[in-house]
Amino acid sequence: MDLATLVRVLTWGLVTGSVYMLLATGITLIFGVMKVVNFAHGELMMIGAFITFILAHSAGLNPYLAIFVSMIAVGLVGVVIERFGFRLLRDGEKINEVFFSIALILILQNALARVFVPRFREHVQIKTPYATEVVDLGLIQLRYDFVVLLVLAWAIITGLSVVLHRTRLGRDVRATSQNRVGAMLMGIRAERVDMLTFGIGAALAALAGSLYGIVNPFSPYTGTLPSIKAFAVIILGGLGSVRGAVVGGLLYGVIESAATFFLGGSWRDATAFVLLILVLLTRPQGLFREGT
Amino acid sequence: MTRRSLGAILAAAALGAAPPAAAQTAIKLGLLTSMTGPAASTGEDQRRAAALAVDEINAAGGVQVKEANAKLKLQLVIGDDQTSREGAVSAVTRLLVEDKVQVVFGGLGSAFGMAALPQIREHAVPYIPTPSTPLFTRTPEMGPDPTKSMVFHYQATGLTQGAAIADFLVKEIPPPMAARRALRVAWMYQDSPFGAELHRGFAERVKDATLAIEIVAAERFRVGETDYRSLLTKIKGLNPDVLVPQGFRGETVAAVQQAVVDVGFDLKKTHIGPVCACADDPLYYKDLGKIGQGTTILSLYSTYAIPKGGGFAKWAAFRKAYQDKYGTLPGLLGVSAYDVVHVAARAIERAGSLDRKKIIEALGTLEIDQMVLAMQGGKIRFDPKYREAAFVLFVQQMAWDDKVKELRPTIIWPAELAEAKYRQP
Repeated sequence: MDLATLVRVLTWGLVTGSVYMLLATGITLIFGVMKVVNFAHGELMMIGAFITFILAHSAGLNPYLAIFVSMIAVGLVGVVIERFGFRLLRDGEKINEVFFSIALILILQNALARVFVPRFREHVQIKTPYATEVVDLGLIQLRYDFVVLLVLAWAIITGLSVVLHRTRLGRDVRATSQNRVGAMLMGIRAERVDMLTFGIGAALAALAGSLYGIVNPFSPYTGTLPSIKAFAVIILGGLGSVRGAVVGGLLYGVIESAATFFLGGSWRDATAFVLLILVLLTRPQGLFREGT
Repeated sequence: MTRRSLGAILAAAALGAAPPAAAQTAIKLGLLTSMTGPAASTGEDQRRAAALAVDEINAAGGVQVKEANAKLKLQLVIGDDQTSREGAVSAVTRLLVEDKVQVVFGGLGSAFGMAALPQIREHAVPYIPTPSTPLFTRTPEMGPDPTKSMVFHYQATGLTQGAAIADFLVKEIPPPMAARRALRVAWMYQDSPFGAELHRGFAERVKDATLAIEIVAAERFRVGETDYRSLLTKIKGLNPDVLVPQGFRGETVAAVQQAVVDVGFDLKKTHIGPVCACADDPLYYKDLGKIGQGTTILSLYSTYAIPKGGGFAKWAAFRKAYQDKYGTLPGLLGVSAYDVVHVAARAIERAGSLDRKKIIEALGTLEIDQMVLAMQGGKIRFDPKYREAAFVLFVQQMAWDDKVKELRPTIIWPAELAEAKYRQP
């Protein structure tokens, strides 16, 4: 394999891995604070992708600006789901939350399909003004869209990290994640933190979906597999660990890409899950064991 | 009603048998296809086309059924397989047990139709599937399967399509790409019976006919895959003369776009295609965009072109009727469903009965003029060995049309149907 091919394979892995990273970070934030596993995270991702698509193609908004509108909109959807869904189930059995999020998958998926399939049929893709423009990176030429995807994903994750570690909101989130009762005794309004965290997680899913939809075709059903992989990523990286979600997501993407290149497309999904099993057997707490 | 006749009806109901013809006012045709899930839009195309055929037949008075001594109207009953195997089993059970349809037909995913097959066999109901896998009527070794004697396959099989792709490539592509050596062909195909049989048909034709083709790659991808970049990067490193991506429409569009735009396949050095006939749909021409110029598609039914010759006379009228009713154009699977409604109606008429066994016998000996799709010899008949219909296949090449801002096809193979010769980009 020549160097250019190696760089290409790594780049495709980093692109996919960045989407996993955003999804996994949202899931792990929500889990860390609320101890809730939202299985419908992939559907929030697809709602985000479709909002960006509609804003770009029907309203004529630049797709990269539309992403931010989509993040706000899906963030609000997340707030509503938390306030009128998970919060009401909080004191019940954990299994109720699981069934609620599975029901959400079916409701959101079919609602999206009902609205979009008659109009757009199976798959759509968000077209940007830079869809055919490439930047010469020496060894390889890369579409501008991939460069923007990587920069945007990393900028948002870095920004989130700053918010979590340098602001009062971030301190409240981390405190609630580490010890909910202790945080409440210190005057932190845990339910408000829950709502905000769910909103941030949902907004990250919208970002992941929109970036995915710029470089890949998608349908209302596309979110399921990436979200399953994002769950695998947070187990790989360590439940509740943002650092684990970031590193795990990128690692997962690169391994998938390398497995496809060396072993073939049929091994793409299997190889990454084999890695997950190996990590669970040798380091059950994940690669990074820590609180948020 | 006498006690005896009441007992007979109750017994028939308990056994799940179709009611006698005299008691029925309509012939129920069960369309088993995907109305929800990822393939819902193609399922909707099938529903629309089948409804069009039903309306046409009913407007002409219906189907003469000798045993009923009356013309009976057709009734279309939809069984939604939800684009899943489990959904197909549940939908076919409902069609057979609750709706008690006379014939089951249609579908687009081979795996879903195959999942319904045990129920079809158990109820011995006539089944006319439209996905491509030859396993509907054959054994896994591709021999005839007498246990599936109620199945009549109305679609070009993967084996046939794969063989046609080999014939086209070896005839048309070598001079531009590889004048003095074997043509280097790379396949990437859906990891499913559909994809595997297309590749098998291609590989067998290359071997059996000792064609000057070297298969340099045979890479598989997951059903529903959207990211082909790593796979394409690997294939590009093998320097193929031809890349043959085989998947459903959405998969094919993504694979071709990523090959050209992201991975940098040069269409002057590597021909892309022919892609699967199942992709021939209005959205394929729209979604693929300008970068699809020069690529090829294998077809039984073209969305926009009409091949030379009298065998394609019905296409324009059918397109107009469909477009007038639904405001859009049909795709291959819609056309197939339209044809099959007519085939089923004619078989029932010939059987003169709604008895499933008699309809199966009539299908086995049916020979009628082709409907929309062009058939070998101009007749629809199911060969006695494999119970498969034989279609006329052709290859089209894409060119950008500035007036409509979409790709439009030109038929380039075989010579007797071609409007033009293959043009290297």
